Amino acid sequence: MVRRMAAACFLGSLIAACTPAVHAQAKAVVAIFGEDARTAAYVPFDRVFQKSIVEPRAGKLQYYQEYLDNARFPGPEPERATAEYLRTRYAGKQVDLLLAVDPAALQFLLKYRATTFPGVPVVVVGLRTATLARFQLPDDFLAVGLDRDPILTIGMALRLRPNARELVGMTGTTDLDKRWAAAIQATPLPPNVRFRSLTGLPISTIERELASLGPDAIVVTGGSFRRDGAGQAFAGAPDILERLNAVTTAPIFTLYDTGIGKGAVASFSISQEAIAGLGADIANQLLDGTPVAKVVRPAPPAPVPVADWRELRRWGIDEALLPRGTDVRFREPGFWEQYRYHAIAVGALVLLETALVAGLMVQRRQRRKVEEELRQSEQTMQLAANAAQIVLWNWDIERDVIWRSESALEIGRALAQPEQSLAGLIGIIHPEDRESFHRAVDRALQGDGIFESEYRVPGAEGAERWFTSRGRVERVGGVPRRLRGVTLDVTRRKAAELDAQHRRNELAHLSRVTMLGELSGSVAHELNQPLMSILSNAQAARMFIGREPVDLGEIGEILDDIISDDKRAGEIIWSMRRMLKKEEVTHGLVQVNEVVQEVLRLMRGDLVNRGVSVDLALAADAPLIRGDRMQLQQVLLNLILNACDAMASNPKEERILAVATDSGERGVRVSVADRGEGIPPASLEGIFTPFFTTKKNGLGLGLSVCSSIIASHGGELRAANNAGRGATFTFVLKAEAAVFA
Amino acid sequence: MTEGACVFVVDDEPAVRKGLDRLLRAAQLEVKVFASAQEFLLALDHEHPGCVILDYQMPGLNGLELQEVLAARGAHLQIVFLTGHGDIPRTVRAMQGGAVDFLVKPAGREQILPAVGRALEREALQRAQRAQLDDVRARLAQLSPREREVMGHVIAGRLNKQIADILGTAEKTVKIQRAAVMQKMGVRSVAELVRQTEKAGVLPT
Repeated sequence: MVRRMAAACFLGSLIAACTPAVHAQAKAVVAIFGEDARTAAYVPFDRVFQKSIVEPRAGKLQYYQEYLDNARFPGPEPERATAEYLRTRYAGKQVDLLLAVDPAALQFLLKYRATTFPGVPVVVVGLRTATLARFQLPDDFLAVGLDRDPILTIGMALRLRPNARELVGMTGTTDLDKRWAAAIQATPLPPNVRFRSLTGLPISTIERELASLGPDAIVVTGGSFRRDGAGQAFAGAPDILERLNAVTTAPIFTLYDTGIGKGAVASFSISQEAIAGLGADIANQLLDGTPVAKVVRPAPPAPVPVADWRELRRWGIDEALLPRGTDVRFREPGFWEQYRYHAIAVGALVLLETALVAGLMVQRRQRRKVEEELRQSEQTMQLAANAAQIVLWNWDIERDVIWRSESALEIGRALAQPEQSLAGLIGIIHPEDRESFHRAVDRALQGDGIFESEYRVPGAEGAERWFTSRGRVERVGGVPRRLRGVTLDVTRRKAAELDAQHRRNELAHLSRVTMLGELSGSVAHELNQPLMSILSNAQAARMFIGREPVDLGEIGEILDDIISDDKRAGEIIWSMRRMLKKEEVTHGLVQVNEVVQEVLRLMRGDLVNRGVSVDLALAADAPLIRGDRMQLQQVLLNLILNACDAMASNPKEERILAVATDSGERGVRVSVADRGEGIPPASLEGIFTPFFTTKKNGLGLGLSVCSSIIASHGGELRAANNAGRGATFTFVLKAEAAVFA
Repeated sequence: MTEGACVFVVDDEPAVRKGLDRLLRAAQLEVKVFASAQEFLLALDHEHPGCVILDYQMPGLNGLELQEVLAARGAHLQIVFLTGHGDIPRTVRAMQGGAVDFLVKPAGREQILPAVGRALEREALQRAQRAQLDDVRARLAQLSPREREVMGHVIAGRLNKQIADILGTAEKTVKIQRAAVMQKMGVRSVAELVRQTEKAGVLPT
C-alpha cells in the first residue's frame, strides 16, 4: 500500500508540475510544516494531501509545501526571515488555503499570516484539543481537536507485557516532546508498575539506559524527538526509533503509528493518515467554495491499535494478547516482493506474468484487508456509538455549529442536515422541553460546565422519542469554546418511567378521591359558611336600601364582605376540584405553609366534627420548595386524616393534632403528630408498603402513595412513635436553591 | 314579640356572625354576637328576654352541649340551631332538647327571620306563663296551713258543710277560711281557683 501511494504521490506531483502555472481557475494551497522536509512524521500528511486534495483537482490546483525547519533554526529572527521570504515568494500568487501541520506551523501562521498570506484561511491539522486550547484561534483558522491520550498505548503495552514492572517514558526535548512526556508521566499505572523518565537526556545516555533495561521494563515514547537533551537535532521520532531499537533490551511502544515499522512494537493512537484526512476534508470543503462559517467539522477519528509483527516475534509477545481489531503490519515480510524482483531479474515472461498475477491478487487482497481494517477502525467509534444508541456531538459555541456522529437515532434523522446551529437543534425539540433545554445550556455555560438535559423529539407519525444529552464545556482562557458530549435515546427507559409515574399518579388520584369522599361533608360545610354569609349580607343590604336614610357606608362594607366571601367559596371549590382532577403533576414553587393552611381549611369542618383541635406551629421563614402543590396537599390530608382516626377513641381533650413546619439547613421539615395509640412496633416497617392497613375499611394505599409522592419530591416520609402518646410522621422538602421566600 | 328582646348569635365563623348581625339588625332586632359558647355563657343575663341562634358545629363546646348547659342553668332562652348538614338524628336530639328550629346553612332571611320570630314569641309566651305561675305560687305561700287544707277541699268541689264535717270544725269557720283563700289567691270563683292551682300543680284533696 505504501508503495502504491508513493506512486500515486509521484503521479500527482507530475500532473501538478505539468499543469500551466497560471490558470484562470487554478487554486493554490500552501502546506506549512514546522520542521524540515526530511521529517518522517510528515510523510503521511504529504501523502494524504496529495491524494485527497491535489489528485481530485488534477490540473486545477497548485500545491506547495513550505518547511520552517524550526528545530534547527529556532528563535524569532529566523522565523521573521522565513516570513519575509514567504511573503516575497507568494506575493504575486493567489493563495486560497493554508494547511498548518503542527503546533510550530500554527504558531508561525498566527504571528505572520497577516503579513505573508493576508486573509487566507488556515486549516489546522493534527493538534490535540488540549494544545488548541492554548491558542486564541481567529474564525478562519479551522481546527478539529484530537483527543490523544497516552493511556491507550500504555494500556496496550501493559497488556502485551503482563509481567512489566517498570514503565520508561522516553522523549526528546522539544515543546511537543515535553508535553507528551508529561502526559505519559501523568497516566495512572497499576500499583506494581513504577515509572521512570528518560526524557531530556542526551541520546548517548538514553542508548546506554535502554541497553541496560531489565526484562520487566517497557518503553513508551512520543513526540517528535527532533532534539535531545544535549541540543543535538535529529530527523525525528521514526528515525530515532530505528537507532534506539537496535540497542534496547525492552520493547518500545509509540504514541504515533508512524513509529510502526521503525522498531516500535505497537501503538494505540489515531493514525497520522486519518488525522491528515481530517484536514483534507476541511480543506476540500473550503476549496469547493463552502464559506468558513459553514464548514462542517468532521468527527475526530478513533484511535486504532497497530502492531509490528516482526517486533512481536522479537519480544516473544503472544498475538492473542493484542486488542481486538489490531492492525498487524509486516506479517510476511516481502515474500512475494522478493519473488517478483527475482522474476524481473531473470526476465522470465511466464514467471513475470505469474508473479504479476499472484502479486496483484495478493496485493489486492492485502489492500482490501488493510483498507477494510482502516475503515473499520475509523468506524469503530461510529459503530460503537450506534450499537450503544449514542450520538456523539460537539458544539462549536463561537461559530454555533453542532457536529454530530452519523446515527440511526431519531434525533439523527431529525437532524438530517449534518450541520446545525443550536437554534436549529432546539427547533426540533418538543416545544415544551425547549425552555428546560435552554436552561441546561445556560447553566453549563455559566456554571460548572456540566451539561445535562432530557427532552423529547417529535418523530414520524406523532411518535415522540426521549433523549438525554450529557456533556461538558471546554473553556479557553475562561471563555466557553465548545460543548461536547453524547446523546442517548432513553425512550424505552422514559416510557417505563412515565408508565410507573402514570401508575403512581393514578394510584394517588384514586387514594385522593377516596379520601375526599370521606371529607365531602366537611367540605360542603366549609362551603356553606361563605354562602350563608353572602346570603344574609345581601338580604340585609336589600333591607337597608329600602330604608331612609340609606347608610351607604354600611352597604359598601356589606358588598366588600360579599366579595371576599365569594372568593373564599371559590377557593374551596377550586382546591376541591384540583384534588379530584386527574391532573398532570406539575412541579412549581410552593410555600409549604400555604399548603398546610389550605388543607386545614378544607378539613376544618371534619376536624370540628371529630372534636379534634389543632396545634399549628408554622415556621416563620419557611423557604419555597419545588413540588406539586396538589400532591403535597394530598399527603398532608392523608396524614391528618390518619391522625384523626388514631385519636377517635380518645376523650375529647386528648384529641389534639399537632402540625408543624420547621425550616432548617436542608429545607422545610413538615410533621404531623397525633396522640393516639401509636404504631405497633411490628408494623413500623411495613407501614409504607401498599395494602398495609390497620383500618377496617382502608384500602391500605394512603401511606404508600404518600411515601411515593414524597420520594418523587426527593424526600423521605418517616414514621416514629412519640415519647408520650401517639405517632409522628415527618418529611423534609428540599429548599429551592437561590429562591427566597 | 317582647319589647327589648335580644337575639344572641353564637357562631365561631366571623363572616357568618357578621352577616347574621346585619340581617337581624335590618329586621329591627337587637343583636349580640359571640364567637364561642364559652364567651356567650360568660355574658349571659338570665333575665334578658330573647333567643339564641346557635351554630351546631363549633370547636370547644358545641351547640348541643351548650343547649344542655343552658337547660341545667335554668336559662329559658329559645334556641334556633344552625348546622352545616341537617341529618335527622341531630335534628331529633336538638328538638328533644327544646330547640325551636333547626336551620341548615346556607339559611337566608326567609328561614331565619320566621324562626327567630317563633322563638321570640314562644319566649314571650313562656315568660308570661312563668310570671303567672310565679304569682300563683306567691299567693299560695301566703296561705296558712289550715287555709291550704280548706283550699284542697274547695277545689275538690266540696261544700262548706262537708268540709266542716271532715275537719271537725264549725261550718262558719270554714266559710271564713274559704273567703280568706279566695281573697289571698285573688280569685272570685271556684272555677278560677281551680285553674290557678292546676297551673301550680296543687292537687285536690
